Amino acid sequence: MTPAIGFVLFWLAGAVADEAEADPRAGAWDRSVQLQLDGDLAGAERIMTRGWGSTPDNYWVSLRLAYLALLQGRADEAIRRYQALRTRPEAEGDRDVVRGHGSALAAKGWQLVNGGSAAKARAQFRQALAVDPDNASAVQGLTLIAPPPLASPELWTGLVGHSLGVYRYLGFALYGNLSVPVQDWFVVRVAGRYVSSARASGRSALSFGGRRESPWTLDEAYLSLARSKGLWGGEIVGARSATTGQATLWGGAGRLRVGTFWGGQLEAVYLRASGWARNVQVLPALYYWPVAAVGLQAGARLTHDDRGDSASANAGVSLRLSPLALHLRGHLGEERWAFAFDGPSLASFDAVTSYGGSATLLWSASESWRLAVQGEGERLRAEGAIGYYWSASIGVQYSVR
Amino acid sequence: MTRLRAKHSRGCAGLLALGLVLAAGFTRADTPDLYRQSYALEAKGDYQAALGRMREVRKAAGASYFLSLRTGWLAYLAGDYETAEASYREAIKAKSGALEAKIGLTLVLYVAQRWKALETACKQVLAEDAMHPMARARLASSYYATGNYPDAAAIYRKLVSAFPGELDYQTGLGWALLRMGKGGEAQKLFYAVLAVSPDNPNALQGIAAK
Repeated sequence: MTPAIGFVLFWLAGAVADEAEADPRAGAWDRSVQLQLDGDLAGAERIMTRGWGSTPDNYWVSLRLAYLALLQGRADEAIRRYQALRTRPEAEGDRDVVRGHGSALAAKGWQLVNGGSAAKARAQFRQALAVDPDNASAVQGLTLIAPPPLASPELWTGLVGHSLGVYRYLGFALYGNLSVPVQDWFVVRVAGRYVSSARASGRSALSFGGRRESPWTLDEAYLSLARSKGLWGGEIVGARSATTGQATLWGGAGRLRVGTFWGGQLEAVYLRASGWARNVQVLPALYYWPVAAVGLQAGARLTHDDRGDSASANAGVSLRLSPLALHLRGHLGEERWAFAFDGPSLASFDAVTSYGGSATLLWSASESWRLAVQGEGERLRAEGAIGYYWSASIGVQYSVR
Repeated sequence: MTRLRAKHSRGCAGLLALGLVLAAGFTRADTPDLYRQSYALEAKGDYQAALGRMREVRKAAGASYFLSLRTGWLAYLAGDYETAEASYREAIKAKSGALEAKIGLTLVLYVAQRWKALETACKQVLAEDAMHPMARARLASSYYATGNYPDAAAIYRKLVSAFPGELDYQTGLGWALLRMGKGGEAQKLFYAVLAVSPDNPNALQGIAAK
């Protein structure tokens, strides 16, 4: 750059700056938009208020200030500004003011969600939809914090089978679950599982034609209390599992979650079978919903057991494509008596589970009815013998509203 | 000899007086003619010549409000904006209460694209006649040109409401809205203008700019 050109550019820059200094409204709109694009929302707002004040009479400046307040998370202020703007004659036919007002109300709804005020949030989302029926954020909010059903009974049944060495077992399972919200305080959950299985002498675990012997049953019972408020959520579960010919298993588990669309959770489990073994599990995990339809989770299960310590990697993927939802879970690494809060369920095998996973497909047939199918498989190892566990179940859930 | 000289002197004085009288009579008779010629030249589109006649009038009869006003107008037509501005300012100085010279000044500043000066001149007009549509429209133009789209839109919107048949106000509002990212509303305005003025360049450019 020659000195002459440099001087001219310097002079021009000075002239523009002088003009802006002399008249803060000159070029203010474009500068404000540029700062917004650069991510400096406060700067974008400052330029507008410097030109027109914080309560401008100009409709379009007020509209911009409302929008900038919304972008900066000041939902209350944005709502006030949009409300005032909608009474102006300039607002007639202006979709921006309607969309902005709806978005501000929805943003307030999300703030209430994060603050744990679900009922107020629902009212806010409904108000947002009354203003702008196309507001996707409010629809998402209402879907997410739909009023809890009075009760949600759930029934499952299916086939189970497992093999270990030369032995093969086949049977059926029944599972029931009842969730009852106690106002906004917590959700009480009672669940039970019954499995009846018999040794099959056929070559295949799927063979029904073979002679059965040595029948055994398993019954499990769970009682859980769960509470979720804003960023925090927690659950405690008491468990009992009794299998024919084995000591009854007792224990409890707790889970603490922090976060909304992303966050972490920590699970801790204590199980004990008198005269047999004690088992402690800790499962730290992180989760992330990059978009509303996809959830990812990864963690590790650390098990301290009288029969041997172990560690395993856990991962899960959830896909929500309404009305369908698919949940995939898996682990790699040895686990003993692995406890899962989803269900809840307990892998109460005497054997070690080396790897395995489950897939659950849910179909929301209506607002009240959900149908589900689930498949599960685990590789087993015990005293040098190798085997597999599998189950295939169907379930139905009804939400009483 | 002395008598003769005195007689000659009286004769010369008489001739001088006659000359002065004749000269004065010629000037009085020539100013209307210069105006006449100026109007005729303006009608023919020869603005420079028409302006020249006004300069002759100024030399002969001195400055006046009307002369300044007309000089400003002819200078504007001739494209001599510097002279036009000076003449209109001179007219404003001569009759500070007159609105027409102030309006004339806004026209010159508008075509000369002297936006800040135009803003000031428009505000002077509007201080005396707050609803003057031409001054409001030119003020809106100055706001738009300096990137003050919100104030431009506010003025244009009121003008469109009061003068729905004035298409420039509609395109002005359209452009201001377009600059503020409200392309949808701007398009409606441009199409409304094109519906009645299919070749309107402002509206066509507005459609193309979206």
